Amino acid sequence: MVREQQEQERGLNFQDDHLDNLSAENQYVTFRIGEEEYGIDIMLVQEIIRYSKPTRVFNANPVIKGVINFRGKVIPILDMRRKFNLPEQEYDEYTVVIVIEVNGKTMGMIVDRVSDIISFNEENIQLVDQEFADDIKTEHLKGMAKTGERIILLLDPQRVLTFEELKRLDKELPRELPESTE
Amino acid sequence: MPKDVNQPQQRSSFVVDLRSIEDKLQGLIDNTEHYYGVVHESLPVIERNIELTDQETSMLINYFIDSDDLSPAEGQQEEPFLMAEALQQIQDKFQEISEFLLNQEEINQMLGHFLGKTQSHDSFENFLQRIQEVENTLSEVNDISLNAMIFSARLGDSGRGFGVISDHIHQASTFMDQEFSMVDEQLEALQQWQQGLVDNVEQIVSTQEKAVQDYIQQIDDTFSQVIQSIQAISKILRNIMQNVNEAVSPFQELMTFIQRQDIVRQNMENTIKCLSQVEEKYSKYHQLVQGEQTDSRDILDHIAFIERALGLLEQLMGRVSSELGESLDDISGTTDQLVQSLEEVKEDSRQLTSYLAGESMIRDGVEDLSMVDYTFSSMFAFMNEFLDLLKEIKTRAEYLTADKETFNSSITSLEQSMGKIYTRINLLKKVKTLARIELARMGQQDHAIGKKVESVVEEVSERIESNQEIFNNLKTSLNKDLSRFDQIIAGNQEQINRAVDEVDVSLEQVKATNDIIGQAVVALNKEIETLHQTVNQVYQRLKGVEELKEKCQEIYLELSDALARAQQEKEYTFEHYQVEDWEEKSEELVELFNLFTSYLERSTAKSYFGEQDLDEGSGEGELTLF
Repeated sequence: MVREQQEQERGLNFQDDHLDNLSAENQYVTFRIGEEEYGIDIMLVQEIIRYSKPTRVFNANPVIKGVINFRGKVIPILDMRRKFNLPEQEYDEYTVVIVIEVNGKTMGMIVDRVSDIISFNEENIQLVDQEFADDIKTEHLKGMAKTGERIILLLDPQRVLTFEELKRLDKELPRELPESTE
Repeated sequence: MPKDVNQPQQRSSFVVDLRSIEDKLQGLIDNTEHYYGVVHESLPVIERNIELTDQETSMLINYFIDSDDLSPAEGQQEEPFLMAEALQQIQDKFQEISEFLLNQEEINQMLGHFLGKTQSHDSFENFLQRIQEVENTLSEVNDISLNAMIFSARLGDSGRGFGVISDHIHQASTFMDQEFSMVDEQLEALQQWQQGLVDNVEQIVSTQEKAVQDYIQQIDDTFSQVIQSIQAISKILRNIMQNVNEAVSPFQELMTFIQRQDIVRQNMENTIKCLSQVEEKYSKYHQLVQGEQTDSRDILDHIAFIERALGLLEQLMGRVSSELGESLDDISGTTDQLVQSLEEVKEDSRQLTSYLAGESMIRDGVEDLSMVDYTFSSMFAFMNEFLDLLKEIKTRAEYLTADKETFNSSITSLEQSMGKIYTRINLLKKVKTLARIELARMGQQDHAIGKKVESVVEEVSERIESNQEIFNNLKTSLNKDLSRFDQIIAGNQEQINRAVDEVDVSLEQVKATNDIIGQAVVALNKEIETLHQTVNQVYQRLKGVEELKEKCQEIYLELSDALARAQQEKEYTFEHYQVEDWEEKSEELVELFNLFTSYLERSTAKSYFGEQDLDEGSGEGELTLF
């Protein structure tokens, strides 16, 4: 189906509905971690970069894989598999880092692969009631969205790292990285 | 002069039955005639049989086995078929086949592009590597398109135009990515096909190497073993034939013995003639003795002649008797000796036949083949193993040719996917230009994202375009490789098949010859058995020899008895007429002498009569009488 549609769109056939669909309001960058497909608000995403081995830092939080230099800033890199208590997996050519900015803090999330950028209508998003969200995965979710047969778990960036974790990171992380270790 | 005694003799007890002796002699002649007849009839038949068997065996040996004399006999139309020639043909064909078999180097040359044995940039392996590189670049396009979309989203309304362009880049990259997963599938199929090709080619080469190493190189040994065995068989056959000829050599003597019988028979016939003359005199004598006016000289003439003639006949009969006895003993002894020798030859021949061509027997679960069969069965087993190897090669080669379909369909699908990707690249190039314009419109012409979009699109276009070219070259090379490989394999297979067919024909000939040798050996044995049987039959019929000898002796004794009586009568008569001695009439003796035809008789008679004027003739040419 997708291919046929794309076949028709061959050539520079820009259409208005496409432009509407691309409204930044409810666009999500979707990606995979394990079996699940997640989405994160595009406005929080700075860039998607290829995974390269981060510089290791000493800290107590196993979720922090290390740090990298991003546009001159040292930012922490989070292993989302560890975060979601999933078994470790070797990084491959699809492994990417999604750099996000939350509350003025920039960090990278290692995900298995990036899928797409999708716009959702409000009615397709179902918010999660946090009082009942005791599951390890759902506690980081803002809601769930449906597109066709796919269910996208929408990540709540505020909950990727707790306030305490962020504070501790601030103290532990170096301000600069030596050139050679990048 | 005798005293003139006119009164007749008072007593004459002189009674002999000469007629009975004549009859007995005639009976003896008939019996010996029959006796010799048996030999006489059988001899030519037996001789002919021996001659034929000898000829057949020599023909068999020369024609089928020996390779020394290749020229056919004069007037002989058919080509001589020789075992050695057939074997040589097979050997030549094997050599021919080995030349058709491909070696690894030739195959590498032919299938270099497939087997990764070439450094050429359009090798199959190089192509796989390039495809991988394109895939990596494509995933970069995907990343950049996503980042472009993120960039435009973050710009809000002013970024919407660039967002649309980014989305198109993203869609193109997604499409190409999907198309590449199809390419991957086709490549995997092609890789599997290529691996199969490599494996099959390796199998063909190793099978061929095995064929050359294990069979072609050993064929000389195997065939010389066969030739040796056949020569051994030939030698054995010759030996059998020689033994037969040695065993039957006394046959010639038998012929001579039979000729001797002719003389004996003449003697007996002459004896009968003489006896009838004596009998005439005997009758006359009795008439004279009983007559009233008989001249005593007449009586004396008669009795003196009778006594004298009987004496001679007795002597001659004695010689006939010993001559006949000797001849009969010779014939009987020779025949007995013949039977004994043939018995031995027959036994040898029977053993050799079962060794050479006997029925195979299962002994302790193992087939015990006759020598002829064993020789050939090991050669056939060797040849069949080799032919099986060739069949294996053929099956693999046929499989390779048939399996080309997989290659063709994979290449076609790959070509289609590449075509689609190539079209998408053109679109991407246009979008790239639009992106630059849009970024300029937004005043962001120097933003990193623009440069990244440009460079990644450039890179992916370049890679895909160059890959398109490599793909086309590779396709041409591979197709060329394959069709050349096909052609050569097909050509080789055709030649190998033809050679194999010819080997089959030669094998059939060798098999047929094997059967003929076996049959001939059996036939030879049968001939020898028949010969033995015939000679034995003759021998059995000749067993009456003692009876004949006895009869002959009996006649001799009767003649002696007649002679004794005649002597007694002569003495009595001489006494009666008071004469001391009486000269026989020489003309009567000459008359009697003339009845004798053989030198033996005449010389005996001459010395008996003591007459120097009698001509006994010569012993030479005695045997040419008949």
